[in-house]
Amino acid sequence: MRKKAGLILFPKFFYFLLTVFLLVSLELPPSGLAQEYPTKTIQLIVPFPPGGSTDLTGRFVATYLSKKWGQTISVVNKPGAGGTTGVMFALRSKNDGYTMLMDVISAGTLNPAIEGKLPYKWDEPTLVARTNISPLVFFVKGDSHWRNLREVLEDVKKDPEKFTYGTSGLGGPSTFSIAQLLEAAGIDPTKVARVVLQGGAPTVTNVAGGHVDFASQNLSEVISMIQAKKIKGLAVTTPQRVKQLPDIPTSKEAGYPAYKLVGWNGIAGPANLPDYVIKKWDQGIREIMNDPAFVEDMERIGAPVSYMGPKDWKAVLEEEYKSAMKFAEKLGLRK
Amino acid sequence: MKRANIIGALIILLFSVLFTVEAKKMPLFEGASPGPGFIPFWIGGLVMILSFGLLLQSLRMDPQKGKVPFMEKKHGLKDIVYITLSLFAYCGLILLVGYPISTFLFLLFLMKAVGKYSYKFSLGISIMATAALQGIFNYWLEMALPKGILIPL
Amino acid sequence: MEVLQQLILGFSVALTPTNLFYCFVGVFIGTLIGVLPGFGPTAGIAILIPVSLSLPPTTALIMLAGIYYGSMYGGSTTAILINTPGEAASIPTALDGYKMARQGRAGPALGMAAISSFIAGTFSIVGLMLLAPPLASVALAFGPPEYFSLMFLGLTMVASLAGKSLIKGLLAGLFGILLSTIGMDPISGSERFSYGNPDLLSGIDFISVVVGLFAISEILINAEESMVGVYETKLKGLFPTIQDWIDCKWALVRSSIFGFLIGLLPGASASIAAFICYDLEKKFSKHPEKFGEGAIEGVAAAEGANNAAVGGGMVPLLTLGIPPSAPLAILLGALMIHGLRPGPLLFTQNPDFVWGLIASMYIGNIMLLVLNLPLVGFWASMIKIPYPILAPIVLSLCVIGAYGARNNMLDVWVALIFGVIGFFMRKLDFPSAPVVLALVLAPMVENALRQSLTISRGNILIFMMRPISAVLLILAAISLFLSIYTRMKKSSKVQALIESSSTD
Repeated sequence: MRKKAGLILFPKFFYFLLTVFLLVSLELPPSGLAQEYPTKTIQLIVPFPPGGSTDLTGRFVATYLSKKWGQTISVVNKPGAGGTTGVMFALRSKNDGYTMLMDVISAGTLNPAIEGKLPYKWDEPTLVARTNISPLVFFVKGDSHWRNLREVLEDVKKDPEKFTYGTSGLGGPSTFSIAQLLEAAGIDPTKVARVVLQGGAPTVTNVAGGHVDFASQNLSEVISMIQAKKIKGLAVTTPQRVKQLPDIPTSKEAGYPAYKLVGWNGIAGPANLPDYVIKKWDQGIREIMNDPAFVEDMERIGAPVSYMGPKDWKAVLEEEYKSAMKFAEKLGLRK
Repeated sequence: MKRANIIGALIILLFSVLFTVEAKKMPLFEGASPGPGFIPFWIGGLVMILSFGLLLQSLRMDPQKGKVPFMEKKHGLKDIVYITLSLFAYCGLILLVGYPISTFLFLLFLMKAVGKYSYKFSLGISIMATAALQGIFNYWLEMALPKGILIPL
Repeated sequence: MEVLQQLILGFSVALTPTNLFYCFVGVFIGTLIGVLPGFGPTAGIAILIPVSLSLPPTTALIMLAGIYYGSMYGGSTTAILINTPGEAASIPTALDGYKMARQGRAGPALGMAAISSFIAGTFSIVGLMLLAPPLASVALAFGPPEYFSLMFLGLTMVASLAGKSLIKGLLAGLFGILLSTIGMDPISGSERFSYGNPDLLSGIDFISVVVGLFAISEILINAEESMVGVYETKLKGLFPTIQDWIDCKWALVRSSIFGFLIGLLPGASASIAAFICYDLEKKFSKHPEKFGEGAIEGVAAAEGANNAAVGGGMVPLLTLGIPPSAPLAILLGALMIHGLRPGPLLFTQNPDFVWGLIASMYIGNIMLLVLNLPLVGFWASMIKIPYPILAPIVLSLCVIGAYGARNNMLDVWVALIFGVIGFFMRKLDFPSAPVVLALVLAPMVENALRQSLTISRGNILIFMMRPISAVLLILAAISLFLSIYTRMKKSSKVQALIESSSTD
């Protein structure tokens, strides 16, 4: 008798608990009304592991916009394949504005230029707004006998095969900027040995240790070593000198204005993003650009803010993509 | 056990042949340094040789030596199959209906089928454990668990 | 002495109630996270960075450093209790620690892990304090050829982890190497063995392999018995015995020193330190065959080494701004978020931060000990939960752990598949540790090889022409030789035993 009672009571109780449970775990669906966007947590996909420059940028943007919109933006890291994994994840997500992408130059234009079989095209994601640029710095070993960029390039030109340079990855801004520079100096980039290292930090240490002769990396990666004189910066790729390292001439001042590639980060989303999403983010980013705290935070990580709206940005990127394609083929990188 | 060893060696051999063949399709050298195919090809080849050696070793194995059968207790096999199949089903289920429901069903199933506990006990533990897990990961650590396609939980 | 003065300054920073509190929070949460299978320091720090953002820089870093230590210890706990290392550095701990747990000696294992972590960790902090600047230049001298030789040295350990059959051990290691090639080749960009699948393009994550090969397969193997009596329920004591201490004294010394030295090399993570020191202990031991069957020296060596490596790893991080491993890279990111830029000038520009951090590392180590020793009894008794209840929950945790590494469902499938593969490997006497060891080291070896040959324009002699690299290669040769020699000696010893017993 007791057993039967148990059987009768239990299923009901069980279903009750289950229902309660489900309700607690469910997130209410978004209202879908444009004026009210965002009404729930937004996922900002960062296609790299935590701690890197794209990740930090994403976290800052997320923090400031969350405060402004009163809605959580949570950073989700989806690293892999040089950024491809994260981009693909974002592209495959619903285009309701609740999954956005913290894009970066390598995943945005450079990888598509190199990898013909990449699962996405450079213009597939919806481009919303650029958030910042990353100046690149050309540097050599701290106690090197080279005193400026011209001396380096002259030596290399005389005997290119004797020299090596390091890059932080196989096709990122470091590779392409060096290609720009060498070409401007009339040197065949394929003659100088390119050593592909894993990340900015090893590239810097390898130059500091003298294992490779020169490299071109993001500002944030080189500041402390330059200040400690373990490496010597000889040029920056931005049109003006960089605040944190005022002694380093611009590429134009150093005589090679063609060395001008800068990295960038920006917000993007899946294809066919609704207009109200684009507008909201565009406006939001423009607003935080005016927040001195945000500007300062970004400066600190070596990613000075540099807003550009969707249309202008797309045009710039198209240019960048074409130029990257050219170098990719010349360097024999394109597959 | 001897038969198991032979089968194992053959599987490894097969796998390594496939690997090596695929590796050969990639460039072995790029300029002066090894290319992407270099390591897979040579290592694959090494595995081929070693697994062949293992095969020979297994063939020569004395079938009487240490009569350790592959599967000791037959009833254990049932449990193992239950666990393995339910694990795969569990993960597939997560993709469909999300973490909480799947975990609950998974725990319930295993406790009944393998643990052989009563319904009441299994339900109780399953509910508590699922709630605890959901609480730790979803609420406290705020981890993004895979969302189900049918029921986005 | 100036250093002492700085240290006192540091303690004054670290001993404020706020900082102490957050140190405790970090260690505690870190331990909890590390206890979850598949979660190690990387996950722990990553998860808690947002929390740290609202704190002032020094406090935030103290908390994060506490998380690092805590999660390393937590990872060791699961390694010992359920044969699931929280990260690669705990794998050698699992090899012997788990066996000890099965034998009812979980308490001593956990206790020795905690104490050796503390001793070695403290030692490495002292080393960091005294030797940081000069050691930084050693770190810079390591270029691709040196890395190749160092990682190659690490790989030779496969020979000693091979267990009974050398050929099976080698096959396991080679299998790990092949696995590591799946995905996008970092140097040429071509996709290897991924057949257009974007998830496979990111390669096989070692956490999922560890979770599958160690935890899941373990449960499957145990399922074959009737799931009861997996663990010897009578706990034989909660703390290491005097005899244990005597056995371990050299392990502690050696692992502290070498763990620290290896840890400070950029790119060498705590796991490499743990493996090399474990192997070192095995080679020095009078009973090498005990390793892998529950030798407490193995636990002491591995745990000591991986904590010493943390201190060592802080050297390049603080002096050069170069993070030597993934979790420290995240720590570096956290530093930058808070506006601190590590580098050679950090010591001079922000001395209160640096010394505060160092002092709090001491405190963190002490807290780890104080927190965890009493908990040893608690953790050890977790095993008493009936296996049929414990196992399904652990399996669910494994699924989360595998997923959490990269938020990628593929990793879960990989873990499951490796659970099955691991089951068969166990049955056929294939060792699992070489697979993971190779999976972790092989990419670095391959990259270093290709980078070195690019630098030398194809000249293989580069490895012998550079002094550090040459020394390391010679050590690798010696290591290989010793492993094979011990193996042959062992089998002849066994032969002799058999012969002598059969003549009775």
